[in-house]
Amino acid sequence: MATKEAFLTTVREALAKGGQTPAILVPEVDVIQNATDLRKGLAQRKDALLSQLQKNAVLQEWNVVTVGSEAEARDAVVAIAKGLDADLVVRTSHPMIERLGLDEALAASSIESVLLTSRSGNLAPDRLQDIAARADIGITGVDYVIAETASATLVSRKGMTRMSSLLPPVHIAVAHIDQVVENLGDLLTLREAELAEEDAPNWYMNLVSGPSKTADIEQTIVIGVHGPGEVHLVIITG
Amino acid sequence: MPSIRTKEFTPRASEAINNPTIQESLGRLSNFRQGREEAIAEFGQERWDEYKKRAQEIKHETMEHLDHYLDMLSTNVERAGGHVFFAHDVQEANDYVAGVAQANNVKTVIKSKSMVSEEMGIADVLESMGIEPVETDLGEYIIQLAKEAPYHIIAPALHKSKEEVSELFERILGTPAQSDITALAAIARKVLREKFLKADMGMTGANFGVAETGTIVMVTNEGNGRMSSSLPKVHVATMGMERVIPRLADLSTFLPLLTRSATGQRITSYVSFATGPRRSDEEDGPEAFHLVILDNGRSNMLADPQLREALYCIRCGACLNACPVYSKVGGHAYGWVYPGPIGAVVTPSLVGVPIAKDLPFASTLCGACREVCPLNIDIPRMLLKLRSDANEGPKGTRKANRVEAMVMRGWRMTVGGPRMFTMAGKVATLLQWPLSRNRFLRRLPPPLSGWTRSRDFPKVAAKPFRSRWAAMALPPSKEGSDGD
Repeated sequence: MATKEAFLTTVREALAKGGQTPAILVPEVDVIQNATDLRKGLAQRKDALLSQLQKNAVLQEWNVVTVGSEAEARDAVVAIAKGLDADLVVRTSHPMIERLGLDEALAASSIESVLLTSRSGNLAPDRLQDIAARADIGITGVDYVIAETASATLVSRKGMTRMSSLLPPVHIAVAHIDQVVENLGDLLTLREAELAEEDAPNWYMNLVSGPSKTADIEQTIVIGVHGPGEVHLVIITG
Repeated sequence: MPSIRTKEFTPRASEAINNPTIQESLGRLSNFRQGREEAIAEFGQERWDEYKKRAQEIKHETMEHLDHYLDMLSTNVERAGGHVFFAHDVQEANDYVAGVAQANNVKTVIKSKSMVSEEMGIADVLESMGIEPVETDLGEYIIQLAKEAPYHIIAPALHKSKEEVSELFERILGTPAQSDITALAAIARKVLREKFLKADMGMTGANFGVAETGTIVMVTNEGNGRMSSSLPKVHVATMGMERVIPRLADLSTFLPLLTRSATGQRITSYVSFATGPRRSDEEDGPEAFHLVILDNGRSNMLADPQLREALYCIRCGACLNACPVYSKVGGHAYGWVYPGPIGAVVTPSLVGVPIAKDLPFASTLCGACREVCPLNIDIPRMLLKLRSDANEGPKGTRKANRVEAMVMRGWRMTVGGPRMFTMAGKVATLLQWPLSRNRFLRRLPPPLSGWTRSRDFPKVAAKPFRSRWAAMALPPSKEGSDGD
């Protein structure tokens, strides 16, 4: 059995260098300062970023809805659900989603809305998957959105299940204009600053940049293989 | 390890060339080429070149300090609660994964596409233990049902027509014949969804292993990578040791290069960052995370300064699409896991030059692979080096073929001075007379007959260039003249 040391010794021998690893200069960066500067820059370019996002999201096959307020966002989500004849939706507990009051609004249209969590609610952990697999739609907030690639960024944590945006055939992501960053580098800078103080930083995340798809048969694109085949991005500007 | 059929290059290449369905499939490679070109145009050529340069610098730094970054990666995976296993070879890697499966009483393993797991042949190992391995990438699923090797690094079932897929599904899954590709994909979704929900272990590859955070980055379009790493209670990721990158920030350089080179996409539908198992504040995700880091001959490439840069490869597949040889002979001719130009470098290095010596010769050395490579890997130079290894052994340990050496000595004598050269030209003009038709020699006698089997040899001119040149009255050279 190869131990780590034996393995690394082979690597060092291949590199023809001794056991001592030379110090590698990693540039010291002030992650907090970088993030502060970045936020200022992004805030000044909100409108440009929004139009960049809208353009790329359409290219990436998101259905984009831009609304001015949370109330309008709620109506937009309900309209999508009704249009799909949904019976059951699952959702995450992003603060944005909580503020929309979706459960009541959907109930008024006879659509059951379940917060997919085993923490505060009465769902047993092993029931999460059954419910998510039966749901017609998964509704999530986002942590950031990348304009350049139209990527909804989802960090998995309490109340924010991975499977909400994975198992149902339709995913509705609700984002606010303040969450829009330009590129992946921006996203990493902001996450690094958020996690700088943590002993065990949460580097689990997913970038969702359109519907699940494949071109594995005759290079013909088919939408909706394992993940959601229909994705909606609701952007709140107000 | 899956069977190595590198010695069958010629018959399998002929098979592909004579198969119209396969030639039609290979014709579709133009979609990849066009997608890549458009994606780079959108990105901006100048910016693209900057990204390429930066990526090369990062890979150079990583490879020169590979021990350091692997150490950092494993430390950080363990800090996040994951397990790391360093495997010298495929046997050790398979034993470890089999052990994890056994310890967790695993019945079904769902796999997302990973070239390293193909290299390991882990599916066969699991199957022999009575565990069901299920490939979930649509292309991989198709070739798993057909019991074939992947045809292309990013499009494993490139060579299959929809009729063949339909027939395969009909035969193995018992589904009715389908001519609609969307319907075929829907069948796979339905079958695989059930497997996803009941699987107790998920296996994925790793497009990148980030040293500073211990994060495994998976790039997929179907969502199967996300599912394989989120739904089952155990997640096992396998990676070649060269896939480590130092920092998360490096991803902003590599991701655009990877997806735009591979499929021409700005980004794939999913990019998943997995760091250890489910955290205590998470609702779902695997309870255990294992990372297997594989050497399996890569340290030989690392030790060879002329091959080290081949480890910079990010497996985008652009060199396959650009290669005039791959575009005709297809993926199976290469006989193992990695086809195309990069395969012709990697395969001999990993399985041994003597049994894969045909691969470095399966190239016109046109340089298209180097041209499209996002890491600027000088594949043609490496192929020349491997050709020399194939003939003379590494570092010239073996004497070249005696006949070949004699011919080369004769050639040197002939072309070394004007007298012999002129005479040889005259002799050749005489000797070719019975063989020539028009301006070409249609058939050369053995042992040169192989050369003319599929092409003509230009005739030696009756009047050599030297005498024609001398006879020409040279006008004084002037600007813009056509100097033909």
